[in-house]
Amino acid sequence: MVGEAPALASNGPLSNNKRQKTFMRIDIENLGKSVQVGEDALHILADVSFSVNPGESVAIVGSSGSGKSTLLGLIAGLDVPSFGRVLLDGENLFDLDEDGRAALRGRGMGFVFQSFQLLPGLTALENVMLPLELAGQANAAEVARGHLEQVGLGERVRHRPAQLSGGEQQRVALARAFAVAPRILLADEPTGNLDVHTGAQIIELLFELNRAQGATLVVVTHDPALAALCQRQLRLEAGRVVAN
Amino acid sequence: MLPLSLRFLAREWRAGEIRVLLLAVALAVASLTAVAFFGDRVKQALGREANTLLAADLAIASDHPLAYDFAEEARQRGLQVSSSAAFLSMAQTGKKNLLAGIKGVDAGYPLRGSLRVAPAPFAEDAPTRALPGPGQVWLDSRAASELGVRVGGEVELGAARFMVAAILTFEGERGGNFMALAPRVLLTAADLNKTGLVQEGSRVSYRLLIAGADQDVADFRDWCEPLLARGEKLEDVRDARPELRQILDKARRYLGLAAVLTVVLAAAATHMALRRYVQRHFDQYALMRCFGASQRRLLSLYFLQLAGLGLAAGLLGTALGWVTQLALANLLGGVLRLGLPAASWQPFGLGILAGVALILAFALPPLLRLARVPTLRVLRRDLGPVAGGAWLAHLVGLALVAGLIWWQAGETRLALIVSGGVLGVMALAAALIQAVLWPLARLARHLPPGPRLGLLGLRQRGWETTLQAMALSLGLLALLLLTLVRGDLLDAWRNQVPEGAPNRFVINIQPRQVAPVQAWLASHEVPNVMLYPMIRARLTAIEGRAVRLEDYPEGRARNLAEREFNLSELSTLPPSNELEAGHWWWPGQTSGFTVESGIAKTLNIHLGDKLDFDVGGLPLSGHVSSLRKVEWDSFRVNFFVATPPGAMSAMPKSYITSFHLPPQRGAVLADLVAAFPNLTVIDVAQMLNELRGLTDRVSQAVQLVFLFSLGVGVLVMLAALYSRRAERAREIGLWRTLGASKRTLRAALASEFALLGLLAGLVAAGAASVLAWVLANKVFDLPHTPDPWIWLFGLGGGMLLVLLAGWFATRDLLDEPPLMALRME
Repeated sequence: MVGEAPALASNGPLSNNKRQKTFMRIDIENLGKSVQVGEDALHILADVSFSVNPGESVAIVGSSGSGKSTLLGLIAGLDVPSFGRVLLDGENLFDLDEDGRAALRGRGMGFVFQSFQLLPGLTALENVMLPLELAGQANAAEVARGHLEQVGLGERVRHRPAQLSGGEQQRVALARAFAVAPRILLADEPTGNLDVHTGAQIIELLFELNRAQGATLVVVTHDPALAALCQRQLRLEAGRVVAN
Repeated sequence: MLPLSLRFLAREWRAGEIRVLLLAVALAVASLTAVAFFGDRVKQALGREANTLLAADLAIASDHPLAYDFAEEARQRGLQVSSSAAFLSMAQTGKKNLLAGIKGVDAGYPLRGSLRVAPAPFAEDAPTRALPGPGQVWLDSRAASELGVRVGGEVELGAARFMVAAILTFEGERGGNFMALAPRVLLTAADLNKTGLVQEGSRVSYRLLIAGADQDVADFRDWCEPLLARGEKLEDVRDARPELRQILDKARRYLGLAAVLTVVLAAAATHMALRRYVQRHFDQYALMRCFGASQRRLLSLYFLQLAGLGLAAGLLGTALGWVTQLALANLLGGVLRLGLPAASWQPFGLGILAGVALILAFALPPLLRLARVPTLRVLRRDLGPVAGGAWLAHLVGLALVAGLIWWQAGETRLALIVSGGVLGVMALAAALIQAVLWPLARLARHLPPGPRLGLLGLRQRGWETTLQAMALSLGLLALLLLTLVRGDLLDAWRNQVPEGAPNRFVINIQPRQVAPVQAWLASHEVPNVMLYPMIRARLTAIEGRAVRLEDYPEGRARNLAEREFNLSELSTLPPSNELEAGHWWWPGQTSGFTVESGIAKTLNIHLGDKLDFDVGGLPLSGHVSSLRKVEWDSFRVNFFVATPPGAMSAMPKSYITSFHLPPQRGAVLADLVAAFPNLTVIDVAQMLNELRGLTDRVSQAVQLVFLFSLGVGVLVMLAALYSRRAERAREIGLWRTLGASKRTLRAALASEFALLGLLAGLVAAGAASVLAWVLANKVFDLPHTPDPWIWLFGLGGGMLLVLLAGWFATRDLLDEPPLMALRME
């Protein structure tokens, strides 16, 4: 079912992308998130601080419930912290309102999820087009098709997610994430729903695309193989950074 | 924004996501418009049918020749025009003379319906398009018998002599109030001029008759209304024939009720389908937020998509509704025996508007719910929308539906009652779920696995179950309520002209003839007839104030004040009379009056007032001791004013009676007149037949609309159950994966649907019983008979219907491989 990970074409649509690209720096300062459970406050993240340099790749590892996904959600501005700041190129994400954060995501962030998050009713092509269309890109179909060719799915653009294997679905998700030429790529357990072999192919493709495209990469993962490929690993335990 | 939303809409259509929603709304609109189209056509046809009894679609009545040439204008507008002039005058033969109603008519009369004539009194009659020829008149049987003239004989009217060419047996214009009318002599307008009877100062009632296409007639009406001079007034069948107006108004209200309930069904179906649509868009919304779209942009995007969908559903539904009513009309036109006129354009507008309004009314609250979906859902799928009231949006939605209901109802009271009933049913369904289902589910562990799963499933889905129960209750309410009101309506119409209602009246029976006439009738198989004394009297004073014409500016009151009353002596309250105020005679009471409440109101007579009558020069006074409500359309002998027995023993009087004679025994009447030559027989059989024909047709139309609404109700309930299909498939897949047998699952589904149906049936039966009573009393003005069967229908039928519909909506899911079901989104 899963084909070989394709080699990247050097003159694909990525190189045609006219957007001025710069890597983005991430600074996390004293970030904390608590939720109220009955009488007690449950601390999911407590006083987390670290930085990610422009163009760097960082893996966030840790056991289930250690707060990895919460941290990723906060870096993406999908949730608000109880305290602390997230600075993207020195600008505090939480000085912006919800729509401001959304606009910022639209301008510079790509996402890859554990559960792929493809819309079941749309074809592979339409799924990749979605963020481009929302950004108002005129040649969305063309760009999306190019990215699907990049991930080796040029022949399957009309297929719906249910007609694709898990590995293929995640490749569509990778094409979608890179289609917007992100400055930061946030990946939440990208191999979590895949077998080892397919997972390995996805990892290879992810890093190849990232190298070609150049983005600051933050990956939440359980997968030691994936973590090992990142330049740096950050270990979370019970909401705190225990190793950096 | 618009192109993007259209692109998204097209994509969703290809994905099949919105097809269910589109279908549900289109179906709802189809049902709404089919009822509207069909109802509109039936209403028009019934109106036209009724217009045959006015002889036109519209009449301008006046007490002088019309100053303005309305006829010319009407002709220029392409309308049909005719006219009549009627007045009281003496008709004479060599031996006798008679005060008769002379009527001269123009060519084309009547513009609607037809006259009926017979070759001899009491002989078989037939409809005719002709009018009396030059030098000819047609007499009704009463005029013929009172003048003692036969067909072929001669009658003198003023300065001219005419040959009696036929017996006039039916003239639609005369209406039910035949007692007030004089015997009829009909001739052409040209011949009327020859009589020289119409002169300056003659009291003639003129009518210009107009007929044509509805819109043209309405336009003409609007045009001429401001031009009418004093003493000129417009009449349509509603003004001219109150007893027909009642029938038509009730039919119209029933169609209105059916349409309103269809709106409610449509609303319920749309709500279910839209909830599902929005739930399926939680992921998409969160994802697009994650990709950087602002909340406002996304909501606009969805809003535009849904508005587009509403428009499409409106168009599709209207087309579907139009085709449906076309098929219905073709199929049933013959049964209805009504020539259905083409549908008007109004339902097209209604359908398209309803499609958009329905979607937007119900999209608003869930769309705002969508706005509360946290973007974090992309990482944590368990996150749903943040709870919180979208009260304003719900209110806007409710207001839109209320507006649609009000529009369809055509009257505020009906709209208010149905809206109140709907809200009550929703509250009752929710309360019953809390009060019954949840405690019941607690007992589930004592049950076998199937019912246990079913009950737990119902409880687990909480609010979803409550909503479903509400929707099903509303569906059943609509079906039961239409059944109940239809029953009351049909009963009332059947009773209005009951089989065996009196169809012959005999007047001029002299006091000494009372016993002989009774005996004669009894010996001719017409037993037990009641003879009422009838005394002609003129009302001279009320409370000591003389009755003067100038005190009554209104036409009807003037006529009543002017004419002679037929007083009677009554010992008991006659059938079809109801005491409204005061008391019936005390034992031994020998003076006083009982007055019909309508005339009391018109002439401003109150309980306790002293009335003075002049009975052929003899005074008669007394106080009003009771007011009666009289059903004038009961076709029995009725009196405006009556005294206790014996109060008028010294006054000159004659007697009147009425009885039913089957049509084939008409010859008996000729024998009666031969045996008692002074008697006058009035034959209302034909008029009764016309009225009965009308109620029959209206009944059939109501039945059809009822059946149609019934079918739509079932379809909409099916759609509501279908909307949960995907979740149901996943549930079943999961259960089967966990080892549940098909048998267990079947039992689970059956117990779930049965319980839901039972509950919905209970709520619907209760609410329908109350609402039917309220509607009968407050809207339809009908006697209401509580129907205990409704509980059996509600509970048993509800359970069976939901079971069947549920089985239909899930029957193939049990055969799906569990893996497929689990992968279904």
